[in-house]
Amino acid sequence: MTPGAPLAITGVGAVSPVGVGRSALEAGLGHEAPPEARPRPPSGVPQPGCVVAFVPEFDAESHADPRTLRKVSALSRLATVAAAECLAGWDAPPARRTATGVFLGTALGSSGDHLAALELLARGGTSAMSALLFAESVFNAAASHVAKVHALRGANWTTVGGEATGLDAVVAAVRQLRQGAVDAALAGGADHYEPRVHASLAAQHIAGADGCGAIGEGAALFLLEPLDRARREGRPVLARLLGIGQARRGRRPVGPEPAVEAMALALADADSDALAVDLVVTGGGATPAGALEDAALGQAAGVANGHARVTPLERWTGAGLAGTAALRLAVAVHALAVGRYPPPSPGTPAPPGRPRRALVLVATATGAACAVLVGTED
Amino acid sequence: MAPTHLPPDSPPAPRRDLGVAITGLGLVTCLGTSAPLTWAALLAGETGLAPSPAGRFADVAFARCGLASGPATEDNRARARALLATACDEALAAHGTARGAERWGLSLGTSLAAQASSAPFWTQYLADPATADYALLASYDAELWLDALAERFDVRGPACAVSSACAAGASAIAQATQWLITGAADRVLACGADPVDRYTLAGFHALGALAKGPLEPLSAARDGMALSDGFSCLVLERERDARAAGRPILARLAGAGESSDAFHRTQPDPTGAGAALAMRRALASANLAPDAIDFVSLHATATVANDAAEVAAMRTVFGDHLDRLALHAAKPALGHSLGAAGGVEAALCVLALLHQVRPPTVRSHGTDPAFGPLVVDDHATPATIRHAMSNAFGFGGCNASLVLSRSDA
Repeated sequence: MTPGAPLAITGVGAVSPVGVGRSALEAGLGHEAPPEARPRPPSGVPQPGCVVAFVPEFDAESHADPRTLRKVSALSRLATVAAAECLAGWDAPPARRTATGVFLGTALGSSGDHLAALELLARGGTSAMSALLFAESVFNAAASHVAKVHALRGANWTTVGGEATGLDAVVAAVRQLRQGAVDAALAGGADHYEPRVHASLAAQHIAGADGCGAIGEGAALFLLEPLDRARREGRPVLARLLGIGQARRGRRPVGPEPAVEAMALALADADSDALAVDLVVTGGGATPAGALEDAALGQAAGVANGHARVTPLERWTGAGLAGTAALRLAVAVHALAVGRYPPPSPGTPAPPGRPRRALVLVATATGAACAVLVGTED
Repeated sequence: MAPTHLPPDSPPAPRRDLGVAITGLGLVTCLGTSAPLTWAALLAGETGLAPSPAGRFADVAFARCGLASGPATEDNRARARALLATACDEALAAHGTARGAERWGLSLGTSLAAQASSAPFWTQYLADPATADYALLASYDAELWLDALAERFDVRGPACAVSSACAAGASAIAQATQWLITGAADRVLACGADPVDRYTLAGFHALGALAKGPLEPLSAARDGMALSDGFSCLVLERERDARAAGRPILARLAGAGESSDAFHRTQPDPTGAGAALAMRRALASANLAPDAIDFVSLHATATVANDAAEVAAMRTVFGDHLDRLALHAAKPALGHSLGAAGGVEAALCVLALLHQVRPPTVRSHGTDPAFGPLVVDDHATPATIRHAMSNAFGFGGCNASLVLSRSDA
């Protein structure tokens, strides 16, 4: 790939609390929010005060090759299903796959397998440890599994941290593409809810206290490749990836400055006027992170003056984890691809018109912020 | 640690590589709590691996491991944070505390990502799950680790943790390089961090990957690896900025290449194809031919599978040059620090370039004849090293290769 060439998003795969698949995600937004769901932890696990937006039970084997779903963690299953949809119809030759990287963001990793292995260790000692659980518990197991399934031999990164990692991974992929380090990239975020981790974070007052909004699990993956090549090969250009921005503030208290800066960087990266943005997708909701996003938007031209439509996704998909951050980008890309705004809130009709330029924003209460600007092909 | 060989006022030669300079370095390992201490012990042929302290890792005490001197605490996360901060403080010593208008980034490579065994929690949980204090379940707070480091070092650019298993430390350096080249940051703390933990000891033991005695990399007697603490910090910046500011350049990061085996969740591709791909990509980004490399820091975990695949990859990339290429395996001295290994061993390459000395590989047995002739020093060897390569290969087939060059090369 020519370093610095324009980029396109030519594939999207999504597994969310409102359904499996990109189309299900849009359809889900057209309804009232899913019923509030409380975690159903194993006996004895404290139940934090906030709700959890679970991915509904679904037959994964009807969405991906069953052989690719055996003996892998719940996180790997989510990522594998999302990847299957994302790469459907991608008939890339071996040389292209060899130069394709995988970049996956996750906050919790394969926490279920990790805790199961720890419990084996605690109960039975070293001799009881499971080699399979241990191997699946490492943070990069899901990304490596997806690479193996699709023979993708470029760089393989797992970005770990908070919610922003779901977009950080996309940003990392963009940089690698722009540098020519990879020829194409499968990037996004995934997280599988684990009640004991939630209880732990709540006990440490990190997350999950009352009034924390909804925590959501899910996955969204995107295929990024050079725009010119996609057009030459007749690949569907769902959106163009125009700009990226990241910022962090370690100082306390955390204000909206990182989010404001991330948005400004993304717009500058795209050489775009803020007033050209007509759709913004955030987490929103009554959380500290949502408040930071709202405050940042209040300072952003185009949004502050009511020009851009804002869709806060938390009411449908929850927030707080890497998968939900990536789902924001999926909503934005799908809106651009189908030429329809998403509704601004559950039960509210989508506004008329066609979005052309969407900004996706994630801000965290720990001072991280990431913004991605996408636009229609024209 | 001023460079000893750089001619005064030498203008940089025209080059077409990544153009990134390393202007700070910090290390905390089982050999020492600083880069000079680690380097001196390494050159002296010492090893930091020893039987686990009594009671430290419960029933995994049979495993040899390498522990760094540090705060005595049962909270392995707090210990890891403190030791990484020590490495960062050392790396920043030449940079001072004033940040000015520059955007600093933080790129952290780790496999555990602040997970820990949380023994106190499980003791309570097994006694009575209903009363266990979930605040003791130490997990999934990598974001807090980044947050604490960002606050301490006033990071305002990107701050991300990459977890590509045992390649993570090298991937973090590659990530930092991309930030610099694309302008996302002006200077970056590229760190590697992983503490020894009962969980990883038990996990690798379940996989049959731990050695029964001293490590014997590249030998027919090799039977596995030993885990260790590892904390590294390199300060990276654009070379032109460092030269303009007159900051001493310890070494140059000339190239970086990565790949995935796409083969198996734990075992490397025995042909070494993925590893070879990463090395070739690193050489290409450095605009160097294989025979320009004078020294290679191997991944060399001393497992049967890794060393065989790695040598196969080396043969593919270097051909006959491998018969003359000086190789180093750090893990008999320093242990395997998992996600930190790529960062720690890249730092050792910087020191080798700075001091123009090839460190020894500590081992009792010679090279497996099946590998052909390999140059492995058993004592510290002064040498002309212009370009070095540092390799790191991880679970799931994550491969990362770095090319580092002498500051005037």
